[in-house]
Amino acid sequence: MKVNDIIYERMIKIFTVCITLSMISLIVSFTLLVIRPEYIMNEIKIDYVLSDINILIEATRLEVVMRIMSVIWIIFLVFNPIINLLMNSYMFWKNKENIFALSSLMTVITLTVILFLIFN
Amino acid sequence: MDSSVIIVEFIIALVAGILGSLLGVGGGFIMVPAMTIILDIPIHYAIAASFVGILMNSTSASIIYLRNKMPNIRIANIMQIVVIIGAFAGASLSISLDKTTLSLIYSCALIFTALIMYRKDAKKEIDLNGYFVNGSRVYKEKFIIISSYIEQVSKKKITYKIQNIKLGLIFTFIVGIYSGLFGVGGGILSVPIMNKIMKMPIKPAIATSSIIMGTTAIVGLLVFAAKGNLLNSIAIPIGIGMFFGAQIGSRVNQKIDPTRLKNIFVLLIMFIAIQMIINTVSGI
Repeated sequence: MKVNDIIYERMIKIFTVCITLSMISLIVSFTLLVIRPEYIMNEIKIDYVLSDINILIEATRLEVVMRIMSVIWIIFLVFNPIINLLMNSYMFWKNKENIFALSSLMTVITLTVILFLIFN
Repeated sequence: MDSSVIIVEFIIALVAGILGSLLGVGGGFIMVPAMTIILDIPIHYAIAASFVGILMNSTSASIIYLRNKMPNIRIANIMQIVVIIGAFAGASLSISLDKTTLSLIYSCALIFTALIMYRKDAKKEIDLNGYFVNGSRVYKEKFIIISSYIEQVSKKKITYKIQNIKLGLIFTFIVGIYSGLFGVGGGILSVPIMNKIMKMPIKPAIATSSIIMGTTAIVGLLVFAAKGNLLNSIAIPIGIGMFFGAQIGSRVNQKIDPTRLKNIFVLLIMFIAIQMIINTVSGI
């Protein structure tokens, strides 16, 4: 099998896994958003605690689920290209195509440096 | 938030996803104006959600393109790093430059690109085999990328050699700067660069652009998310709509004749150029 075919195959696997996990969490979040928008979108106010403790519990649970789901879909969407670049770099390096291996690795490093600069 | 708003967001993303993945562009040119004009969503929330859409578009469409062995991973890897550095430089410059003039220059560049894309190439024989010296294959250029793909319409195997790589990368850097300055995706200009300067056929150029924009959208998405501009109520319907739109668009891409695809691309560039001129003149 040619290196191109192996890269294509592995990229498809990475893309599929990442997008499946992202889509599952997106659909769960979407369902929550549609069926319970009042709990998801509104802030939890102190009045809730005083008036109805059940609403607070329900709202908090949904908030937690929503937050976890948001983290999952963002992580898998963002890390998907990065994992692919690292895999490409390794495959090209193994195939002695050092320029392409280096360019993939440099992209990951550049992205990391830029994000570090932005967040600091 | 009203359910009808969520449905409208989903439809906007679906349409943007179909067009974006069909032509190898992000789709932000549809999403951002539609969200701000139709739904009255503040622009920074709209842009943040559009980055989610672009990333989803890239991931979803790339699966279809990779199955058909369309993208050129080698040139994508090199172009990605150039676009990212250019975009960072552009974003850093954006405070100190007069955006009105730059925006008009960019619009003119888009119109010029559309005209060049529309012009038919003279058919030139390309040396794909090189020549042999002491039993090993040698090419005139030191750095060479040759690839092939199966054209789904004619069922022919098309082999191409990427040319003018240095010139292509210089233009890619300029595109990166502009995308950093204006927040527009690089796809609209990186496809013409690959097609006209690097002499890649239109379909692999679109597929390659689809992979590139995924990486370049990461920075934008994280910057907006860090500032708290990423809202679940907007990003989630956009993400889901984009996924389905990109699946449709990338499948349609395989069935369209390349010449027709190129003409649709020319129309898209003209549309974005006019949209940009109107925005600049009206001071939006």
